Amino acid sequence: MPFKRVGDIMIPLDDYPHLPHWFTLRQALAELKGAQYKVGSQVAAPRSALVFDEAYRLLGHLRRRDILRGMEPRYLSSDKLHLKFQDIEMRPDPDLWELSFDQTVKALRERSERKISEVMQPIVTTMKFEDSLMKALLGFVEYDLSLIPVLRDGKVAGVVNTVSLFQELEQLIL
Amino acid sequence: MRWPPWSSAEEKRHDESLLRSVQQRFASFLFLLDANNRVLKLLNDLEEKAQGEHLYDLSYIRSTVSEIRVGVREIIDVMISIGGSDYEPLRERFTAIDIEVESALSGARPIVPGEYTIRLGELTREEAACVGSKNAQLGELRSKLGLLVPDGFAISAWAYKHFVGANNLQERIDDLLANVDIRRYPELVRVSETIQEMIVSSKVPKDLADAIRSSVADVVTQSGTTHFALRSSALSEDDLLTFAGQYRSLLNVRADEVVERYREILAGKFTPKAIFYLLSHAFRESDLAMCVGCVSMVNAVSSGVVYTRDPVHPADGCLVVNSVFGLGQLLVNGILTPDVFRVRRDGCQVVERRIARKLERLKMRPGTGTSREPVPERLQKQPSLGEAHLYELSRMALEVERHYGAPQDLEWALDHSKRLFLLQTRPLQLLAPHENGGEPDVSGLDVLLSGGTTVCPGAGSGPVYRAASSNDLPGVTAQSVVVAHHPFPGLVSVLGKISALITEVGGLASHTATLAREYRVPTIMGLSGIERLVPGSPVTVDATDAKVYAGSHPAIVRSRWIARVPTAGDPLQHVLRRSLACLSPLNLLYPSDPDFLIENCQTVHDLTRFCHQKSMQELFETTAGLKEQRRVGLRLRSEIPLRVNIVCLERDVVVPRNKRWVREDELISTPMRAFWSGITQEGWPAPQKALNGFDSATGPEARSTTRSGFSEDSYAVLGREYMVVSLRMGYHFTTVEALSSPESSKNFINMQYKQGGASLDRRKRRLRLITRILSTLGFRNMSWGDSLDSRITYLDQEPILERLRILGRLMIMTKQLDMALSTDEITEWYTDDFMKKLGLASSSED
Repeated sequence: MPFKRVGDIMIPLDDYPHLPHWFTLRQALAELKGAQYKVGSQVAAPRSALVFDEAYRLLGHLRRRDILRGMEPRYLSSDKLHLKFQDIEMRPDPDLWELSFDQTVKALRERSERKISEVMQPIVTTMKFEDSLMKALLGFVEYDLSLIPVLRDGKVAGVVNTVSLFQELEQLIL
Repeated sequence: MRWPPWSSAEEKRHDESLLRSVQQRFASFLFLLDANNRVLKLLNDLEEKAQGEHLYDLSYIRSTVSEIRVGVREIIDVMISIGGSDYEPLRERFTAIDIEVESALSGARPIVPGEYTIRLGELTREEAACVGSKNAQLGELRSKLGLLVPDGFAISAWAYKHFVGANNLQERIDDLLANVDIRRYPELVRVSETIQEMIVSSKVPKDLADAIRSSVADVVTQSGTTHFALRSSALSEDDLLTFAGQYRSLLNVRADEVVERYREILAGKFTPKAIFYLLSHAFRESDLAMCVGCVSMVNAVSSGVVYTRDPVHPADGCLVVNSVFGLGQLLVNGILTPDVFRVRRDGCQVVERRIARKLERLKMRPGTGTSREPVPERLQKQPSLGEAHLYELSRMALEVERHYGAPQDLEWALDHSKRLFLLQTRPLQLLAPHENGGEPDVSGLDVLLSGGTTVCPGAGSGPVYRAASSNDLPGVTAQSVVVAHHPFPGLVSVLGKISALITEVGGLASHTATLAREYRVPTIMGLSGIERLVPGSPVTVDATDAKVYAGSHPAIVRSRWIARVPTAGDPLQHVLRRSLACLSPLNLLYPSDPDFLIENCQTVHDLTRFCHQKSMQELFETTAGLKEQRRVGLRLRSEIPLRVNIVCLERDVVVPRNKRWVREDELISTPMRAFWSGITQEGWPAPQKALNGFDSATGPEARSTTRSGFSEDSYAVLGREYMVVSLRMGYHFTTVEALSSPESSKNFINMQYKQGGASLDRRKRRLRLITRILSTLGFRNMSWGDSLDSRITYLDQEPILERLRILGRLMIMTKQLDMALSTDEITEWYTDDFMKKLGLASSSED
């Protein structure tokens, strides 16, 4: 098996979701819904999207769980509702939403209009196109990541994620 | 290494010079816009007239086309000054289009080689360009309607060209006509005599003479005739203008004389009155080749003219038959007052008959020519046409009108065998009083004369001028009221300047009557007592009411204003429509179309559209080279971080010298306010910094230079009702041009949307999204690659403004949307989502 570089297993940017920072969570949901990319012969669903500014500068990345966090109803996330009584922590019951389904959906819709820049994650590390796969592996472990942007000539050329790295490892080891 | 490699001082000088150049270009652009609007307004006026609801005449068409020419030349000059020599070919293109316009105006078509003579039975109206309208219509009556017309043949335009060419006449004629002053009658007569002498002394080329003799022999053999009538049939005659009686007709010509006398008809093209008529309507002499009709002579018992509608009262449901004993020439020359019969168009019943006392008639002379002879006493007060023939003639005339789809003016003759022949048909010109005229107050005015026949309604006032013949005409001054015994043909040379015409004899059917209506000169004929009109004394002729008042009364003149009634077959309308075909259609719709090229400009409108578009592009492309701190006009102060430089079109808006900014609420441009309100409604995304200070990596399409707010300078040229905005927003740039006025016919929005930062397939998806939304709004769209041209016209002001607001919102909504359009499915989702947001589709929440 030939010695591979990050660039060899990278998912090109064009195949991976990316959005301007002023887009909303709702738009991000739509973007990720049904989105697919190919890793070798497999088809996978992206679990995040890259976020750029209007000059196409990379600002961060947005995971599905960031979207969920951003949509979390206030009554679940507000500190005022987290009460401590005689050392017993009291949290609102998530099933409360069933009491007012319409109100909750309305609230979700409102929350979905938040900008993705409010909940996106910072870019903590990047790989170069010509970096080794081992360096990528270390990056994922060290920073506890599932996706790392790949730069070529200083520009974002794509991403490498745990799915694509796993597939390489499977071929090497299994 | 620094780039550009000049020093700071040089850089400054370069920048100053670029700024001056841009400012100069803006000034030129404003001038171009002004000329463009002027031309479009003129085109619009012409189009409205062509709809048939407005009144106009030939001089209106000509003067409007002249103004359009001036405007287009100005536009092309400015285009070249803005864009440089690449645009020089516009001049050549305009010249080519202008030749077509001129040809459409004059009705002239190139004379194509063909037969010298053609039998009438083989002709239809489609051959008018070969044999003249008169011959072609006679052929049409015979071949298409099967009506009785005299047997004969036409001598073609090609024959005329051959005659002129073989005798080297054209250059000499051109020289003589180029220097003649048509307002000086003696000069006109001198030139006329010179040219006519040249023609009658020229030789008919042998091949042409042989062809004529052969056709004469055929007609003689087949119809047994021995004598012919030679009638002029010039190209464009009856087509655009009537040319009524301007040319020569020869009656009762022996078969063996036809070739020799053919030259006299050709020479008749250059009588003083014909030259006047030709040049006063700005026709080119060479366009009017003289064809000749050579038909069997009808030995008429009676003859005359039928109008299928009363030209003065077109709505009264009658046709008018004019009739005299003998040949019709004395009638059309205005020498005889005819019997007049008014016949109902439905049922052909005679409802009115005015039998004139007919003292004379024109007869065929034994041998050759014609002679005037007295009508026998017992016949003088008898009708010259019986009931049965009146009925038959009326039916024939109405059939011809139905065939042509427009009122007709027909000449007819009844021979000794009681056969009714049609000798000519041409479109009839109708007149109507102006609808706002009202009845003038004439109480207490001194009526000098009343009665006679209203030949052309209307009113005019001026000093009386008595004219007995053409020799008296040089003394006629502008605004004269000309009084003559009969409507002699030379009067045409003064019809353009006099205020009214009165004759003692004559009626509706003379050539001069037709011309008076063409020139809209208020005219009464057959008015007795003209000797009571004192030369030099001011009078007012109310031709509508057939009265002459002492003194000058402008109120009567104003209230009697009349105009032509356009009809479906109106030759003037044909000319206007033909001209409009070279002027008005817009073929270059979409600037991104690869065929949006100078060589594809087919009309004047294409040229103006091309120049307008390209000047805008050239202007905005140059301004892109300016440094950001440079301002061409005022800069818009707004929360939206676009640097918009504003140039004001309105000359009455005074900008204080030190003013550098303009607030949103100070914008005077209604369309810009609407467009900008859409932009501010959506708002501009707040800048976002990379988290954790990560700030180096960019996407693959990122530009090498980025600045705060990421917008290059944008430009807006604004008027109160107009805007053209060139917006540079990140990676795409858009030009939106709009006019929103109270007149929906003038209003439009043009938008061009180009480029983007993402890959081509994503940019194309964004264009599809925009196209679908704009289509919902009624825009016509065309996209090429990653460019979109959209256009909407003919909307009221508020719908235009509403669309501009939506366009403003769409600008922001689609800003860098291409980045997100990875699939067709997501594009569909965004399209539906935007449509709901913009209120163009119902929301699922509704």
